[in-house]
Amino acid sequence: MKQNIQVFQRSSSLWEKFLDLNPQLFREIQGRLKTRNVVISAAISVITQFMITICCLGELPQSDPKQLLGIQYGRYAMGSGYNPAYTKDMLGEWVINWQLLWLDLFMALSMVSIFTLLIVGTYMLIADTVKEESRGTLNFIRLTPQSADSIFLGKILGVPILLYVAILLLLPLHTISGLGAHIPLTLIMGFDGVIVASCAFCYSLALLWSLMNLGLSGFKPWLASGLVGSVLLLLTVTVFNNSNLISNGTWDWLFLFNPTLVLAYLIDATYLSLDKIDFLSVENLKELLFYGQALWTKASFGIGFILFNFSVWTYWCWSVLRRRFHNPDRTLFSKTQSYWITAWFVVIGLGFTLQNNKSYSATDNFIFLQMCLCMLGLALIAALSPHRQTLYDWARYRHQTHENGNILWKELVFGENSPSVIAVAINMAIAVIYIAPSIFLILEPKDRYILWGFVLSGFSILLYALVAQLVLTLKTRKRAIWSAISVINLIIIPPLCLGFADVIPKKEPLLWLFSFLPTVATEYATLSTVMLAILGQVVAASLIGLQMTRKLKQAGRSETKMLFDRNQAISS
Amino acid sequence: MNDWAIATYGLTKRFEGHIAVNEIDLKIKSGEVYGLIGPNGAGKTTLIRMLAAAEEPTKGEIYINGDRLLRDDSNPLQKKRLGYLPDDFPLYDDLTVWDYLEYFARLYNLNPSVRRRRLQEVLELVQLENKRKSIISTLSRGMKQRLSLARTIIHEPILLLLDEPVSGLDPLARQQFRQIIKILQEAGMTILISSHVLSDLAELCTSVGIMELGFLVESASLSELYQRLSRQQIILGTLGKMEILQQALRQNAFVETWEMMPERDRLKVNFTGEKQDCADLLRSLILADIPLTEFHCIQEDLETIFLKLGHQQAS
Repeated sequence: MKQNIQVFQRSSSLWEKFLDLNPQLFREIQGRLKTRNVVISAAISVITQFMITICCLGELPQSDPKQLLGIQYGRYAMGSGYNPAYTKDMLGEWVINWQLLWLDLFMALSMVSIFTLLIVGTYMLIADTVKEESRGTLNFIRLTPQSADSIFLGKILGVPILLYVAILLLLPLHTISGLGAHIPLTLIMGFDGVIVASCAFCYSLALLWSLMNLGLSGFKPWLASGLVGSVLLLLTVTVFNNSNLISNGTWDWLFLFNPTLVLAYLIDATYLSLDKIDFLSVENLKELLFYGQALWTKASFGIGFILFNFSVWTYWCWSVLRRRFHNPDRTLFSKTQSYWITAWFVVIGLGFTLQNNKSYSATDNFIFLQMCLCMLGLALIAALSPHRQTLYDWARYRHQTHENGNILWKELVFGENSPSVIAVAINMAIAVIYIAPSIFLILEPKDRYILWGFVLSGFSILLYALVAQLVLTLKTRKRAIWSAISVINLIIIPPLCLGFADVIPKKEPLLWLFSFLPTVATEYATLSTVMLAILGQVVAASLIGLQMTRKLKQAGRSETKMLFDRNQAISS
Repeated sequence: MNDWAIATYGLTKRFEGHIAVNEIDLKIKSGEVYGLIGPNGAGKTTLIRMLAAAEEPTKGEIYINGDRLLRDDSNPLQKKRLGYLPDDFPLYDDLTVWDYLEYFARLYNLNPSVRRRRLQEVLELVQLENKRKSIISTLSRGMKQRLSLARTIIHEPILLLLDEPVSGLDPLARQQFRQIIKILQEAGMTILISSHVLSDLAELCTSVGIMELGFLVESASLSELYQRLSRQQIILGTLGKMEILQQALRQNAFVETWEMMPERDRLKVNFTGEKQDCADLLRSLILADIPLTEFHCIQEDLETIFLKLGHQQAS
């Protein structure tokens, strides 16, 4: 008895020590890990496992000693095709493909775990953080000596704790079914590692989303989990019904964000026929190239690179989270961060663009990369543009408050709170400069017009950044929304108008060069037309830039100078 | 710079064209109880929020015990020195009083051995020992406010920032709160407290700052403020005729003016003399055979001083 108490005390003290490491985890566990909740999650988990198992067992042949049922068909019969007939062996026992049954069970449990963890976990984390932010309790946590890492780690580990309990209860059957399907334990563990990495990425992104001041508080969790669910469903359905999924396009990169992709290696290890499983084949996965290198040929390398992909983007989410947590009024990225993020994005994006030497395919890949770059540009505009008050404060006090306040170029390139335009331009320049040599090396001379597409897109993004920044300095209440509406209009309206006016890129390329995707027209444009378009964009950018500079100069005047100017105006 | 518990230099905060806090150079000595008064919208809450690192200043620097206060995670030690109680006090309604305080004790890295003792101490201090197992949502407003104060001091900060801590409390709860503040002051904490209840501040504070339209228009020790701005007054009561008393008062050079009090046999005299002059006046009145029933020296209170300074905006 005494020994029992000691053991309990020791374990309790170990538990205490563990909880002492992360107070936020302690709070989440304390609030959620109640007996009733644990029992409910455990029950849901057990019922789910039971239902899945029953569904698989339902495919087995029925006991039919008098042979009244005739020939029985089912998925687990030994034979070719999806639903062959069951046969009996010499002893009169049904011949059943148990390995396939175990694999189906394993796959079903994997799917349930991935979908539940990513969708429900994302919802729970966002709902919890948004609630804390709107209630004001997160501010108190910010004022404590805890680091952002500690708080967010506690949230990620603690908020979905009941979900983890349910998934942990799935784990034994999941592992047993994997081993029953003759999947090596190391591969099962690798797959579990990828699920953990995907959760880390998705949850970091979810926390980042919940800390954005978008004014959607109640809608935020639904929107994000809905989006995660839709993307995951789309990617999973394509992986399932397409054994030749990898098409050596830039978009192949997207599949690396889908943890179910790894199942291809696990299925391959079972040596089961793919006609029964209908999943992406490893042979196809081996065709995926990065800078022309086939890195996904071996399971270890493939899983390693998928983990690397998740880790890189989790790292960047985390670094933005750290910044955002302590000062929610700041822009989402610092300018330096944005350069690094763009560089990573372009390095990885170009790696997946350079997969194919066939010119037509490579051209398509570059056009897709250009679209991705435009999206990145728009995201950077949103993440880097300071709002009216911050911008005016910068204009008014930068000489006094910032270290490099007197050196304008340093302020615009690296400074906090300064206008985003130069930083967006640098980001676009980083991307174009990195991509340009490969266009010359890979594409045939007739296809090098793609480069002008990148350059013109870069200038378009610069223009959008200027417009967005200018609208953000207006004295209206919903500046962010107006800014977004202005940019969306600039993207949508010109192609719509040109379409309605029956102006086709082939005949009138110049006008299309000013659209969101100038590449549709660069093919038909002469060098002088392209130069004219660039000149037009530069002039437009300069005009808007001048207007913004005038406004900022006005905002930067001291109260005394304003009074003095007003008096002068009255007296004159 | 190290002598000051709080020192700010050119602290400024702008919101949409209006300056909430304007170039404030505030200095508060260690161990002081500093009262911040001013009408609504004067910038008190913004100033306190900036001092607590809950708000980013537009310009200016803040030093807490000589160390620059920055709004990031580079200064965990400084955060342990600060305790901040805002005017609204969000709590976790689903937690018990004990669990809530334990959570914050852990957030402030209190050792397990110290934690339990400290929790008991603060619960005793805020008189919530019997509510330790109660769910927070069941507590009254006064109790919630005391619990928030307990959370603010759980890590034994050396600087307390209290923003309108007694607003919305009944007189009894206010008295309890005052007593707690006095205990904390005796324990050596530096306390900055903003309140509209000036009688409370007069009782608690050693120094006072007056804010108006974002400016710190006055910052001085309470005794200096009284000495400088508060007139001495004497309440006089007599059984005899008022005219005789008034005649005797006219002969004293230190008597400025007087006014009749609602009770017909009492006068309130504005007196400019020192204590010795006061004693001389009393002696002269007795020698003049005036049957005095009351001779009582008082000073103008903080509220009168505040109003006299012209800060008459509605609060």
